[in-house]
Amino acid sequence: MSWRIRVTFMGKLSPKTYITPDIRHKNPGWADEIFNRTIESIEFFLPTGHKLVMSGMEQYNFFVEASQSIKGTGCVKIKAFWFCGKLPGKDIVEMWRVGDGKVIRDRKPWGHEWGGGPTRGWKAGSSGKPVAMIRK
Amino acid sequence: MSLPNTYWLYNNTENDGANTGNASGGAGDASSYWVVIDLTNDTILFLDDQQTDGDPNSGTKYPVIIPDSGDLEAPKTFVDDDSASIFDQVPLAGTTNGEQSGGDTRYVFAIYFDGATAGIPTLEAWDDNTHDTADDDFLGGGTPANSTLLAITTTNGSPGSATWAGTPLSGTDSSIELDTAALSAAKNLYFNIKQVIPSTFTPQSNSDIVLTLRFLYS
Repeated sequence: MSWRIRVTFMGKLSPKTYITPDIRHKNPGWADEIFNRTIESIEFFLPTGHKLVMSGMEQYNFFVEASQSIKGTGCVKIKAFWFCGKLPGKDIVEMWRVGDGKVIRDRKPWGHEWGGGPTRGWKAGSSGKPVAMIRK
Repeated sequence: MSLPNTYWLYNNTENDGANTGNASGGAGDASSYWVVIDLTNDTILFLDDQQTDGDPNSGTKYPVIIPDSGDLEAPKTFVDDDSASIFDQVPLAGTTNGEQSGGDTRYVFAIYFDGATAGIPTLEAWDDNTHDTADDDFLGGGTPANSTLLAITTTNGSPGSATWAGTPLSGTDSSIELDTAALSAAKNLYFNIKQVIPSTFTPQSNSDIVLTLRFLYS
C-alpha cells in the first residue's frame, strides 16, 4: 500500500472507499469525478509502515510539489506530496509535507497555505472532530 | 489537474511580442520569435558586450568584467543553444542599464504550461539541480538579498520601468511568483531576468547554479 492514498467517503453510496495507484508514478487523479463526493477521511500510506491520517476536516486538498530546472535532467522532479485539511470553522489549514525523506507538519492561514498564496482543488469534507496524525 | 507539461522558451528578437506558438514557439506576436530551450543541454549566459549574437559556442566566451566601482548589469544575455552550436542572444533581457535592448520589456522568457496547476508557479535559483542549497557566490553567498540574479514577473504586464529592480533569486528564501493565481488552464508565464555584478564580487571560475521552476499539480 506504500505511496497510495485511501479516501473514505461519507454516505452509503458505493464505492465507500477509493485507493489511488502509487502516486510516485501515476497521476493521483485528485481532480477526477471520484473525489467530488464528501470526504470522511484520508489516509496516506508511507513506506515505513506508518500512515498519515486526516479526518473531520471542513475541506481537504492534496497536491504534488514538482520542479524543473535549466541545466537539469530536463525532467520534472517530484519534490514532495502535500496533504491539507481546513479546520472546521477556522481559517487555518493543517498541512503535511512528505518529501526529502521527512514528514513535516505545519499550519498555515487559509488562502496562504503554499508559498504565501492560495491553492486550487479543495474538496468538501464532513466537519467533525479534526484528526491529523501519523500512526502504525 | 494532472501533471502539466512545461516548456521554457526565449524571444531571440528585439520585438516585444507574446509567444503565440505555445509549446512549439516559433513566430509570435509583433514579429517576435520564440525558441524552445533544451533544459538538459542549453544554458542561459550573462556575458560581456564583446560577445556577438550567433557566435559559435565552440569559440571564445567573454565573461562579464567585474567593475572597479559600483554595480554592473551584465551587458548581454544569451542562450548557449546546444543544437545550433551558437550563443543566441536574448536582446530584450535586462534593463536599459545593460547594453542590449532590455528595459520595460515584457516578452523575454516564457514558460508555457499545457494544463492547470494547484498553486502559483515560482521561479527560483539554486546551487545545483539537487535544490538543497543556495549559497553560491552568484546567489549571494548565503545572503539572498545579495544574489546577482534578479528577475521580474511580466506575465500580466511589463515591469513598468526601463530600469526595473527585480527580485534577487536565491533558493526559496527569495524567489518570484510567475502569476497572481494558480493556473486554471494552459497558459504562458513570462519573466525578465538580469545579472548585476558588484565591484566587491570575487571572481568565479565555475558554477553549477540552476534556474528552477516549482509548481503544484494534483
